[in-house]
Amino acid sequence: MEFIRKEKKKKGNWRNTLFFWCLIGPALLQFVVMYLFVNFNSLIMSVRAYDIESNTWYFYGFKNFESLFYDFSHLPELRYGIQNSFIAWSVSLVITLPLGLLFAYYIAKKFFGAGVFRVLLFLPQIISANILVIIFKYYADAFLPTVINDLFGTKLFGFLSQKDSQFPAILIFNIYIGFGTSVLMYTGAMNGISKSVLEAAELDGTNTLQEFILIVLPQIIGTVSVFVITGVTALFTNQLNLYSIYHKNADSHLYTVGYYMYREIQSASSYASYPKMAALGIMITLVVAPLIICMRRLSKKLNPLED
Amino acid sequence: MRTNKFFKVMAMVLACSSLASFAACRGGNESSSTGGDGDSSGSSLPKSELYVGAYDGGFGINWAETWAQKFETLHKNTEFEPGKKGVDVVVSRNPKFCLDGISMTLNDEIDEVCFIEQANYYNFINNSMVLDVSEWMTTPLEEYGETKSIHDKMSPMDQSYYGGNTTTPTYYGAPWYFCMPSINYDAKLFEDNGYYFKADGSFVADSSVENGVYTGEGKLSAGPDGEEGTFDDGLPATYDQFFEMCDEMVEDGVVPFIWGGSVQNNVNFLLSSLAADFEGVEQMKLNYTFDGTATTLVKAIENGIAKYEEATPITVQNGYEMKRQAGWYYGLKFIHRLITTEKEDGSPKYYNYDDCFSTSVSHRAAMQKFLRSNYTASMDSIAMLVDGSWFYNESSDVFDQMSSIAGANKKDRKIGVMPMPKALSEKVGTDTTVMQSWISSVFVRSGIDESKLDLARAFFRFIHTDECLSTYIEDCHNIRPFTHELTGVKESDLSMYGKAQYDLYKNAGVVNCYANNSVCKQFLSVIHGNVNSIVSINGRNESFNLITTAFNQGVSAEDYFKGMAKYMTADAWAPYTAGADV
Repeated sequence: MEFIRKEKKKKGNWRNTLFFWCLIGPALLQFVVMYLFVNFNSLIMSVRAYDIESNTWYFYGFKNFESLFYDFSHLPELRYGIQNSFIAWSVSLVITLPLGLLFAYYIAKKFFGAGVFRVLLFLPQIISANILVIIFKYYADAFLPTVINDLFGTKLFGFLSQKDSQFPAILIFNIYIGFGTSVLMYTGAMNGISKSVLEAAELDGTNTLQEFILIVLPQIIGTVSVFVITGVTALFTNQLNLYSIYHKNADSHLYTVGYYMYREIQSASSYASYPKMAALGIMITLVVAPLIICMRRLSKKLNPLED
Repeated sequence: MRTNKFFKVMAMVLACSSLASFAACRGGNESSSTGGDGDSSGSSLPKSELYVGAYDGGFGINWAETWAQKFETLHKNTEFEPGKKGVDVVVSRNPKFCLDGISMTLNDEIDEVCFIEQANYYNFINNSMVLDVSEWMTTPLEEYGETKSIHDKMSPMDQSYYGGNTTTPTYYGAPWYFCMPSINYDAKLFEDNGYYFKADGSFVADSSVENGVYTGEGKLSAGPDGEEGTFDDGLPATYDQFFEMCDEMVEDGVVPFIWGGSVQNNVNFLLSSLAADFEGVEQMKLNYTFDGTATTLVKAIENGIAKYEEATPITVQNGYEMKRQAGWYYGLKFIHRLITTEKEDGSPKYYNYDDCFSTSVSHRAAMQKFLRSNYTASMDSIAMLVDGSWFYNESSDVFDQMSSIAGANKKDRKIGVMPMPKALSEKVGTDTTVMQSWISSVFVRSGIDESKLDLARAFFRFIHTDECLSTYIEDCHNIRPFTHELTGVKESDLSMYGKAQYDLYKNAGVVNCYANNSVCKQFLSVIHGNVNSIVSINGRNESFNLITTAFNQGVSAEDYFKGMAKYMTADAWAPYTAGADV
């Protein structure tokens, strides 16, 4: 009897192990191939160069980094790139995030038109980015100027074609399309707050604003901090949809580091262009990784639910 | 239990439907088998099949279908493979045949003869994706009654790039199309409104020119080539004359120019055409070959005239010096004048700002406006379009829609290619030079079944016969970069646009935007179409990648030109030459 039970236990263990690996295996494999291997390859590539004549890679020392440092000191578009990357990140932190929280609260409380808001805010996630960009281009560069010109009799040119209005227009577009996922997640987290807590607060006489700030926000701060931290990871990779709007020809004052990198890779005529971009990737990691660690520590400190 | 069964059935259905979609994966390529008249041979043997794929970025595939039909007819009784008789050439559009990604996966494609654009020829070779076709290229096309080989028909620059810098070239492919950034003009509008110059410098009377023949008093001017009786007679010879013509258009209520606001880089490419025409073949090609002596590098600019440096040897190591070439400066002056000349009310004189700067106006929208404007009462006529040579064939749907209007269909529409006017009057009479500004190639993929090699060889060689090169012009309204006579096609069979390109290619010097050196092979996008400039505005350095934007923001042609050298310094250039050191 004891033997049979042990046998069953063994069988059960084997099945559990198999189940475990079935679940973990694909994710682990993906991590190894898509993260470890890719990043290791980037690291190696950043100190190598490619020669198309002999079709070989060779050691190039830190010259790719040197070349990048020169570009950063020499090219105005990279000066703008750093500046705009920080602006875009700040905007997402200061405008998109609070607005997203407010929208999510509005939807979670099922205020008037909450369903419509949910659809409108999530729409950019459903529609292809390219289609959205086309719609936006027509809206900002053709429809809106025409309407304003007709209404006020002024001569206004497209918002995406005028130097002064280009960057604000692009930021507004990115704020709008940035809501979808975050609003959905915040709403989900808000719906998870115990009803009894909210009822107790209501009995204590809190108004809507107090409920949002004192009860709801602290309860979902974990979700918010995830978005804040992942926002930092996108600091230098966010290209603000510039490539979809302007293809390779965005004006230099619109550049972000992400756009510069994406554009360079897209324009590459051979493998020879990749090492410099690999070096840029490494440099970005060196800047962003400490920032992420700091943000994570900060969010832990600020989280009232953390021990 | 019933629900369980229902789910099982549903799962089966869904699984089957996904299989069906896998089976249809190749569906992205719209293919057509021309069938030919091989069936008429009455043979019961199956036919050999050859798959031909082409990227349709504007040039379509009907030219390939014509070749396929002719080839099938020619070889209806040929046995290319044991047990097979005749040929079925299956032509398809392949959306993957553009850009470099395909250079790693070409052998996954079913297509065996591949027409690919905007992809680096040498990537295909290094990835072992393409067949060595040297013997096919260098053996005279005698089986088709010709004495020249494909190699013989190519320009020296193409021979060097595709075959290598050796006396015994090794070919893995051949150039596909010839495409230059150009000013395309509505010749009917020019004829109706008399926008041609007489020899005395005045305009001809309205409607006194028809199909290039002048019936009025005096004679047409000799045009930029300075020779009477050639294809450019009556067209503006200098920049000044060109803008005099534009002013005349504006007076008539005609808008001289249009280009798509979302493709302002077409104007960047136009700059290379202007520069090429100023410099001529030998000097312009130094921008790509980096091998020779530059004689027109600018030392200083005095009163709008460039003063030249001593002759400077150019190598891969100092290729950045070519950004100081005078042709760029004069081309910039032309474009500056075009962009910044204003009407009295301050609006641009030679174009409509909303069309040419709005990101919502695509190249297709600009083409449509250009083609329709002269036939639509509610629109201002537009005289010229800045775009590449693909424009005509890419506008096929517009021509189809306008086919009921006399003279407006694709075959009869009078659209010409403007030869570049000369920057300086003393340059009138110098040879016209044009730029091949895009790279495109035809390959046979290396994974082709060995039993099909004879068939692929026969087809590859067939499509490079004079007859096929000629039918290409008829079908595609474009040319392939090979020297040939019109064969099997009469001049009257060609559209004016196709004929204009044929004439230009035949009469002009040609510079390719690609050359056989490590910098060009590895960093083509840095070398060609890159006219970035750093200009100081209010004490702060600003960079520009679009000439139109810079000029629109008040930058002068001279500052832009000087800024090109500031952008591409020796230090910025050094990393590109790394491969040359190996």
